Amino acid sequence: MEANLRRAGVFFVLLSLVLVANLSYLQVFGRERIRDNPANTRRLLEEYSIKRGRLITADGTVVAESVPKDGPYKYLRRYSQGPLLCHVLGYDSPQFGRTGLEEAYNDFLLGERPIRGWAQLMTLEEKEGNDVYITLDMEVQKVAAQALGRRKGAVVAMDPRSGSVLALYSYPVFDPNELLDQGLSQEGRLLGELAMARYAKDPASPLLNRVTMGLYPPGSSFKVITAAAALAHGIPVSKSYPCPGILPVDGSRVTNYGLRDYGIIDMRPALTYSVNTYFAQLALELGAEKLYSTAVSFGLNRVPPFDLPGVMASTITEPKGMSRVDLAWTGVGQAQLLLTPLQLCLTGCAIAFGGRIMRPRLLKEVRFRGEILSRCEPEVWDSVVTPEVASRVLEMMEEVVRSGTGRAAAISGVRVAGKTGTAEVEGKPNHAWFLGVAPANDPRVVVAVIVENAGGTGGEVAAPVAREVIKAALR
Amino acid sequence: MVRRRLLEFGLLIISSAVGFIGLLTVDAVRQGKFALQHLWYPGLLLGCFLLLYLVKLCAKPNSDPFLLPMVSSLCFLGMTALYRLDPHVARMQLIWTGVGAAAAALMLVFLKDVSSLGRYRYTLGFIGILLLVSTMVLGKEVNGAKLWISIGPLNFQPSELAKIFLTIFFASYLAERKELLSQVGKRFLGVRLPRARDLGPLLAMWALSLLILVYQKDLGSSLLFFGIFVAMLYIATGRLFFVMAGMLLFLIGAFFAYQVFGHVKSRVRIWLDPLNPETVSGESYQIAQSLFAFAEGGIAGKGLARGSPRLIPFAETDFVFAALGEELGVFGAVFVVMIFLLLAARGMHISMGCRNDVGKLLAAGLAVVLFLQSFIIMGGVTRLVPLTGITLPFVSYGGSSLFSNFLLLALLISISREVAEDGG
Repeated sequence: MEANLRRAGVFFVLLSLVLVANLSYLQVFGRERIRDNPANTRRLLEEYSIKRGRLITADGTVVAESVPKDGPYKYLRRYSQGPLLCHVLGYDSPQFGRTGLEEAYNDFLLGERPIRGWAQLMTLEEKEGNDVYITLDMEVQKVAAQALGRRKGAVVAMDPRSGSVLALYSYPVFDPNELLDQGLSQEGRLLGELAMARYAKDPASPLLNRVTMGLYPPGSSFKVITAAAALAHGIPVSKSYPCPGILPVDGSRVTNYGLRDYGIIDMRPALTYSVNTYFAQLALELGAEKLYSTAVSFGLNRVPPFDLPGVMASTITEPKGMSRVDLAWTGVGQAQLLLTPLQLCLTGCAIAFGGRIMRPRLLKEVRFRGEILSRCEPEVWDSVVTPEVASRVLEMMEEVVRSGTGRAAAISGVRVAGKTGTAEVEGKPNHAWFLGVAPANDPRVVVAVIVENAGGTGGEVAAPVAREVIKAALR
Repeated sequence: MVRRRLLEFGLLIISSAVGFIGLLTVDAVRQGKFALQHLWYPGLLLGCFLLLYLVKLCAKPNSDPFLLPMVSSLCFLGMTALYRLDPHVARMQLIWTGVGAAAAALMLVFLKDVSSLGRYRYTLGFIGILLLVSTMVLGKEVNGAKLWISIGPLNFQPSELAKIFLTIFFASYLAERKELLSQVGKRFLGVRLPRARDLGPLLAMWALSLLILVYQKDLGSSLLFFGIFVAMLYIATGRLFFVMAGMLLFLIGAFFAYQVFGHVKSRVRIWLDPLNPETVSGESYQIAQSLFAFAEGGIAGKGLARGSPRLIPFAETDFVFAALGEELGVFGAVFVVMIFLLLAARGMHISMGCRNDVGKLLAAGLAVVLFLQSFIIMGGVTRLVPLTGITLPFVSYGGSSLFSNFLLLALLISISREVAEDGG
């Protein structure tokens, strides 16, 4: 029996070795693959056991902070402003992941970046994230939300000198706090998941950030780019065309609003009254190549380097094969063109800041317990046109607000420049646009507004919204 | 002999360090400072083992010096894991350890001659089967298996005790019959077949295992009992044929069970693909959580009280090995594997030194019980074999399990004394 025992013993040794080999696979060699499985909630639990840093606006309002919770997650986010900043901050949810600034600056907020010294790590009782200070101003944001009201649309305001975003609002909104609700419904479903399902199904798309992802036909607001392209390519402001109500182009036609005939006019009144037949002729004279290249330099067909995730590129069709009719309508802003409100705002920034576009950003600085760890410095994204061209366009835009289609944006005591846009939508009321710059002598704020299917012109519907936002920003 | 007793004492003290340091660590992580007020947990446990040591010293002065320290190291590790998971469970475990140690002490004092148990083999075997069958009639179903009997406030798992009775029965039965069973029948295809009637016991055991599987849905016990029997049959006869036939029968049974029973089918499906997105938060949740825990542990582990073993279902009982793997890493897990291998090796050693066949086979059988049971559950929670619910001896929380395993320990110690006395 001794031999049998020995053989059984050898068998046991082999079985133990198999156990050890399998453990080595699980815990060492195959470890990462198993850990990365999406069903593994351990990483989540670890992340939600960290006291995440706060998000704080330029005026010092704490807009997102982690509060201790009972249950599996030690901390969860609370957004003090509810829906008001939903598209800026996004959300940080164990169920749905992260969006907005919560996603963009996750490393900072979790305290993983910048690397802190050992001394600091050792003295911390628990892991604690860094506070992220943002450029957004709550006053301007509140005014933007109030002025837009319960109309579908978007408002974005920037400081053209630094690229700092002062307000960013898109309606309809969602309440991020609802998505984080860990309570259970009567059927035992997570309340946060029910809220998410409701928002996701909503045909008004409240989860969509219209500022960066809403692509709309720009209408006449695009004439700013057409005008800048013409000036940049040597066509002067004094260039005149006869501007009838209907301009025939290659068997088709371009028409003015209300089919109004303006007689022979130059670029200044053409922009002031948004004369389609003028800009159609200007585009035809300029040619598709030049108009296209200027549009691209303003940012079209490119994704602007915004620190808020989820930015869509605005689009213009390639000049090759563009028909004369298409070119004429493109100059007017009413062809195969799609712009985000952010893109229109950046266009205004270029005009306002001597032809340069600063990189748009929301991050101001990162702090840990008041100590500044990192600061975001303004940087130029692109130089678009010369300062002379920019100032000429700005002058003309001032006339738009003083005596043209944008009079509703005028503010007493402030030189406001702007451009209206009324984009036709097939089978639905027009979209109303307004691009505002103020003060025109030394621009400190650029505002882009869109009201979807407003049923009125940009001057009537969007300009008053921009006016309120500019007033708040200059206060 | 004095040196061996001193060695045993020293090893006991060393093994208790796991408990003391473990508890200090858990409290330090939880409260941010060293606290001594909970050291009575390992203190009491050490007390239990020292008392058992003293009884052993008086009743069986020449017995094996390694068994007790190995078991105590498992108990200290288990108690630390339980304290970390739930101090209340750790306290209950302490009580059961006391009861188990007391039973073992009584057995050491009053059981003079282990091989004399062989005289009652049919009674013991009958009790063993009765215990097994009892749950089919009286048992209540927990987690899809009928393993428990409630007597008043106590929940009792008869299969844990049954394994000892049946091992004693197998040992004395096989000791008597081994010559007969080893006799050679006809040769067939170069394999020597035993006589047909010698297959009877194997087939009977197979039937019993299937019965357990069918009526109690208890895969773990079923596999354990059949495995113990086949292993002991091999050790007694040296006939590889029995192992082959046993495996074949097992495969037939497993195939039949797979075809007929939904729960067996789903166990196998879970085993083959535990991280399938469709089942990972449903029926394979347990094993997936266990695998995640092991992966989280890595080489050195997350450290005591720094992981999240509460995520693993049944972390105090069936999955305690996963909880250890997460916080103590490969080091801790391999330590446990090695202790069980050493325990089995020590059991084999005792068996080899024993002069009478009943004792010899009983020691081997008990070693097989410990090793096989630990292998089934450690392999189960690491997805080496399909998962079946069974305790990890001396580590998992469970009164019946601790009680039975302490009896098993006492039996092994008693046999080792006979070794010493017989061998001089």
